[in-house]
Amino acid sequence: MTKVFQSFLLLCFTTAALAQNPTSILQKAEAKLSGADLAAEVSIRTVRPRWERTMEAKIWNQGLDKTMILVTGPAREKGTVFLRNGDDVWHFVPGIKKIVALPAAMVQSWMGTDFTNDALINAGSLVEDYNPTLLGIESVNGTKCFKIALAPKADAAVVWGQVITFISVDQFLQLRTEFYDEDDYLITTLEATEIKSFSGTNLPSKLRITPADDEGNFTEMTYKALNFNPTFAEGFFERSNMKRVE
Amino acid sequence: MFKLAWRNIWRNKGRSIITIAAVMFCVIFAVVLRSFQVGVWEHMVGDIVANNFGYLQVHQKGFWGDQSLDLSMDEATLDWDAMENVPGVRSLVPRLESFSLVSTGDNNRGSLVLGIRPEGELSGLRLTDQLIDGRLFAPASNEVVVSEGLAEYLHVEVGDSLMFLGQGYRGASAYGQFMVAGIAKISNPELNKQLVVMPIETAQWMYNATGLLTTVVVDLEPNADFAEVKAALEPLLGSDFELLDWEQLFPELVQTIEADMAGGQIFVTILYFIISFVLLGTVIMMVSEREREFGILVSIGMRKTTLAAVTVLENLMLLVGGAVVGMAAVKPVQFYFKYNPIDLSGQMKEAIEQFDFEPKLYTTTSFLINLNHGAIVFVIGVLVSSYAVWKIMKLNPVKSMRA
Repeated sequence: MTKVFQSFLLLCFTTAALAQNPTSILQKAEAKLSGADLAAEVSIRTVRPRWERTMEAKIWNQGLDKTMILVTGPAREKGTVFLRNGDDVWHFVPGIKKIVALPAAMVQSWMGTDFTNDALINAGSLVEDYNPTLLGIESVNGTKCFKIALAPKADAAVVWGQVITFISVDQFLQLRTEFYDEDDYLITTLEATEIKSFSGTNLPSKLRITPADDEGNFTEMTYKALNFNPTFAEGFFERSNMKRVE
Repeated sequence: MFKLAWRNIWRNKGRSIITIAAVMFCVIFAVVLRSFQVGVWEHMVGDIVANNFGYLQVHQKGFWGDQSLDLSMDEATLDWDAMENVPGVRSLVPRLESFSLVSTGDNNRGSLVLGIRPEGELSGLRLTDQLIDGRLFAPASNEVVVSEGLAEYLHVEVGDSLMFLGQGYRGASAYGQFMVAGIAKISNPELNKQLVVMPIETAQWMYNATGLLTTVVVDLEPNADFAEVKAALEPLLGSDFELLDWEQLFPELVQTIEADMAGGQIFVTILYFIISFVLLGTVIMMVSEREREFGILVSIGMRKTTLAAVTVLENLMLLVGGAVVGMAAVKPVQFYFKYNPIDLSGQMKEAIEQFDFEPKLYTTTSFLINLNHGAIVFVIGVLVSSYAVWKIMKLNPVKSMRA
């Protein structure tokens, strides 16, 4: 009898889960990070078979379309700033004291890491750019996750042919996301691990991006500090602030 | 017999001249055609390979396939002295090559950056003859020489400054702001559109690659065989390096040449068919004109084999004469177009430039082609003469005298 009851409960739970609207799952997951106002301190470790390198950076984010990244180390890169405000993306190079506008298509690597410019600065929103389909529930490193397939909307300016994301059932955290090209080849995988509490919110503190083709290559971004209630001075996300920001 | 043949030739000057002329023009056509074809490629290989990239290049293993600065080599790990002492090696040319975004602030374009020491460079990059404006950069200075096409695209002149932005060694960022010291016309159209040349030290600084090289070009003595030098150099390099010859560096070029040559071969074969029938025509004419004469000769006791031999000898003399005159006559044409290539214009020029080839038709002056085609025409002539032999052997003197 208990067994029957248990299976019934499980069935209820699974059905309930599957009945969840994939769009709302995605929205809940995205609300945790993208689109939020935040200030973060990160370290970015790029690993290659024969060498590795670590950069320190500060990231500020306001809404969906304003992002500023300031590289604080190592010395050669210190003071480098990337700014996105709406459709404009700029890059300040302290070595030549110049601000350069970056082209719209930004699939090239960001500062030699496995992150693309697009992924870091111009992330956009999965909810806005893709149509989600809930595929089921799968476990990622022991955590139950919704498996959601995302097909790009017809008019979305995105580089991927398909995205599959795994969002944890209990906390709505995006734990693993796979990016495929138009021919359904896996290009990169983004994994989120080491969930920590940042001012009361549980979030993965480590993001690892692994290109599918290059064995031994990956980039790991570790959140050292994360503030969800930053106050931005007037004109913080303006071009003129790029040379001053600290 | 030789004398007889010789006299026969002069007996009917008109006929002999027609035969000689036919052979001569056959040789001239075939040789001119092939000379242009071989000449264009010879020039291109010479330009791309001998003047700009070299017949042999040393890299860190995997560099050529990846074109990544991360696969550059430490200057100190190469045994320079041992390599320079290999017979056939004239000098070793160090380079650092990579990509960068070049920007004036208003315009920008992805470019190929080449860090070199101009005084030790291959002739195409020594930048003395190539400069069309300004001067060469000073050694280890913050100055660059920009290729003509790139300067035009970016609207820069001598004295302007350019910003560089790219990816440096092992994840470092590459940046720099350098002054345009000169503008150079690089003969290779592809390079002329995108090349920026700077002192090697400046490039190393910009890419955070101090003491590193991507490429060492092996400059060869003028008549050295690159395969031999390659074999001699290989043992001097460890397994960390790759030593590539020009056919490995530019497999597409080799394939294009092979495809084009095969096409040319077909064309020349068709030409030879036509030539064969022209020659056959002259032989048929000769035999029918002299049928009566042959009949008389045979009836007064000349053996058919002797008569056939004399006729063949006549023909051979005409053929050799025609081939030699043709081979010689075409020589000035070959030389003229080698130094005064035909400059293509209009649509043809655009089409060729799209493939990054120089839109000029050069000839080769290699005498081998003349010899080759002279010989082919000669062989055809011998085959065609067999018609005369066959005709003589089945000659019926009575019938032919009445003809």
